[in-house]
Amino acid sequence: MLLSINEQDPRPVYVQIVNQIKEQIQRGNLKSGDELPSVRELAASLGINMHTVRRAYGVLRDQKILAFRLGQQAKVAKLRSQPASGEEVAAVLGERLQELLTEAFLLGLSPDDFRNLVNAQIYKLKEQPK
Amino acid sequence: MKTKFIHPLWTHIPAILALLAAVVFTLRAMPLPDPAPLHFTWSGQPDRYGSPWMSAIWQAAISVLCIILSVVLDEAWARQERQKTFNWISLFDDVTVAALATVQITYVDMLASSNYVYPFPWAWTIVAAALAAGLAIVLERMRPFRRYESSLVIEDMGQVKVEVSRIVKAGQPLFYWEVQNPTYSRVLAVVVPLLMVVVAVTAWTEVPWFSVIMALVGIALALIYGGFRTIVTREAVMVRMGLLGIRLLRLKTSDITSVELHSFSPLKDFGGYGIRFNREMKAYFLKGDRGAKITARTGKKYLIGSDHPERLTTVISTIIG
Repeated sequence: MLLSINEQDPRPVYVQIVNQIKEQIQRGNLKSGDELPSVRELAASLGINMHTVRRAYGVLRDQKILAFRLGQQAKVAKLRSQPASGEEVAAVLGERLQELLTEAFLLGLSPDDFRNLVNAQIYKLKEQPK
Repeated sequence: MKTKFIHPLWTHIPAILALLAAVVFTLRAMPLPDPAPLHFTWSGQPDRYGSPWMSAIWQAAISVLCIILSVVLDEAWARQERQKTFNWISLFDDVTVAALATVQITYVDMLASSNYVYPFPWAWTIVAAALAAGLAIVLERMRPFRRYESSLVIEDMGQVKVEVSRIVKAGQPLFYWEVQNPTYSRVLAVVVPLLMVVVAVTAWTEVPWFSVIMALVGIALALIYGGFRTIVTREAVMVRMGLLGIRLLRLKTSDITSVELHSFSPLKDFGGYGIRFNREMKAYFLKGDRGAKITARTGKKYLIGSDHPERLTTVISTIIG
């Protein structure tokens, strides 16, 4: 698992950690059952506050991506074997997708341009080495 | 992750049969006299009495420990094989458990006869051990050869190199993390200490010093829970161990002159797993046969075993430039 913190990134540090752990799972670098570093270990190594790491792990646990109980090592939870229901997809992605579409419109992109952008990104993810 | 045994578990059948025979024979002989003679002089006269279950629990616990240890050792042997070889170590549990079962069966038989004289049954023990060894040799010869392939996957490290280079150039903090925590080390850290505590509790009234040793060894084994963790930051490469994160190695990245991918034979090159030494280097690994070989400025060499050796080597080499 490879993590880094970009101080130039406007997103909060805990969001950067959340996104990077999700990316590692998506790339296959982290698999279901894999152990993650302790809060203390990760915070000390990245030079950040323990509460930041705890918050990131908490967000991932709430999203059922990590599984851990108090005092236990965090592990990657069992990943979905079936795609989420339409309602769940709408709840999780709908609002963010709307934001992206708005941004695309303001950048002057047509719906086709946006579709091509999404397809290119999916292709890039598929081609990405693990 | 599911662990598939390369060394088939059916090769332990003689040991399991011997253990079952002793358990069944003991249960069928119930009720046993209580208190019963527990210890005997060389001439076979009893010199200490206690619960007859002491003997049954000890025999069963030590047998289970021997079988678990043998499964671990056999698996380690099989995973480093490049062709079929005869594994003499695989006879260890069969011979030991058969000998223990014979002692238990003859002991229970003596209790049932009410004639409390017990000269050690050397002849029966040797015969049972030889029979178990014979069957174990046949099974070991029948064992199919399976090449352990999981560590031979070659990964494309171009993207990792690009990513680490970008982080290093941007001066961002970096954290790379890997764990080696195979099933056998979890068993050693959880099941074996639990068995040791059971033995320690049952032995407390009879042999307290032995109970203390068992408890201490059990606690020490429990501390290895969590396996080996390799951490790479911009500043250092570290290997930590177990529940408390005991630091086994810390090398400043500025003190590393080179790092390379290294294949090795755990048994032939290092004589086992864990923290190992040979003439050339000090090694840290709990599984696999590949890792990152690091040369320090002092000339000392270190080997860090890894499930993703290409990735680990690429990350370290990119950081040190």
